[in-house]
Amino acid sequence: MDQQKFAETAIAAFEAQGIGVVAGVPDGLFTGLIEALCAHSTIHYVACAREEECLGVAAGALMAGQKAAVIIQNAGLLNSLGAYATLLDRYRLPVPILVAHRGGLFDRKAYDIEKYRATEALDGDYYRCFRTTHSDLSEKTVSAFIDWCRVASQPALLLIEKGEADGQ
Amino acid sequence: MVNNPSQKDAIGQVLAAFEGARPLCVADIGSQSGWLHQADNDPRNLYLSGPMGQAPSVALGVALARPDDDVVAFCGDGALAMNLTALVTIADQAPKNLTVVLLDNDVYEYTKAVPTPSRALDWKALGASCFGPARSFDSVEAFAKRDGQGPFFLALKIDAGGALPPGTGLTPEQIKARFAEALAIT
Repeated sequence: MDQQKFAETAIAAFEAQGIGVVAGVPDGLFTGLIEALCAHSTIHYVACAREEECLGVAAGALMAGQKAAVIIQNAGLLNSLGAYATLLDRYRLPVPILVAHRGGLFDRKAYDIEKYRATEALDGDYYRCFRTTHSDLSEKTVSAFIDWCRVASQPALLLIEKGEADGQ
Repeated sequence: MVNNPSQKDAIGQVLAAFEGARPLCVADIGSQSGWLHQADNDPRNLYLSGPMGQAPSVALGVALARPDDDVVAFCGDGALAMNLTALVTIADQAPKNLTVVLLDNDVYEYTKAVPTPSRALDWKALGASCFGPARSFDSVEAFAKRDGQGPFFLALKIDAGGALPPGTGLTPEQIKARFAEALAIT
């Protein structure tokens, strides 16, 4: 999916779910989305210097009454697991985290392989992982993912990787 | 020899330096949460239970969601050193209503004598580099005379001695719920 279409799809879901703050650190899969968020009139994008901060910013916004989401790469997620457990999960904060899941079958760069494997190992009893590909991303999926977090009163991960249609 | 205030007294002095409505406060895990609870246990306090250093990031989120309220992050030197990049993010966002307060005793209080790696750091200069020289202070007296809008940085030396604070006795659900009630969040 091209960057503009991906951005329009994700932002439509953010708008539908009332997201007011998105905290993120860039990944190539999110470039268009971040550019669109920076120009958005009602969703405030917070460009964080480090991924763990994103979880803190989203937690604070949420506890102060503003729905929030996070967009990070899988390597940054791995840096943020303490904040996921002791902040988001411990305080039962429904923060949806969109993760650029690099290093999969159609995204073969040697330096991404281990982070993909390590992220895959998270998908078990503790972390709630949902999945889609960049080309298959739909407003319905993102919207349902955000609402799942709300209903469950807990954070969750939407792992977004390159699919067959996205090219290497 | 300089007699630095206790952490509890320093927190009380900072809160007294705000005119008008009491600020919303976010305190780091352990020492800062315990001493904020002892100094002024108010529903508008968010006591964090981890990870260390998240107070300024959480406070930034609160400040963005509540632009008409003053917001204060209480950080220990060990904790802030773990999340220094938060100052960079805050500088970029430049929330006018946020103050980051560093309570600096050169040790990890819960381990008593174990020194922090930031002992030689010029915290006020660091704050000035991030937020601007006119927004970085090293005394409550100077901070009380601040002019203009934030973000502000206040670095305070505190006493490293004494007993640890008791826990807050509050669960995360209770902390979150009473904060929401105080802010009339439905």
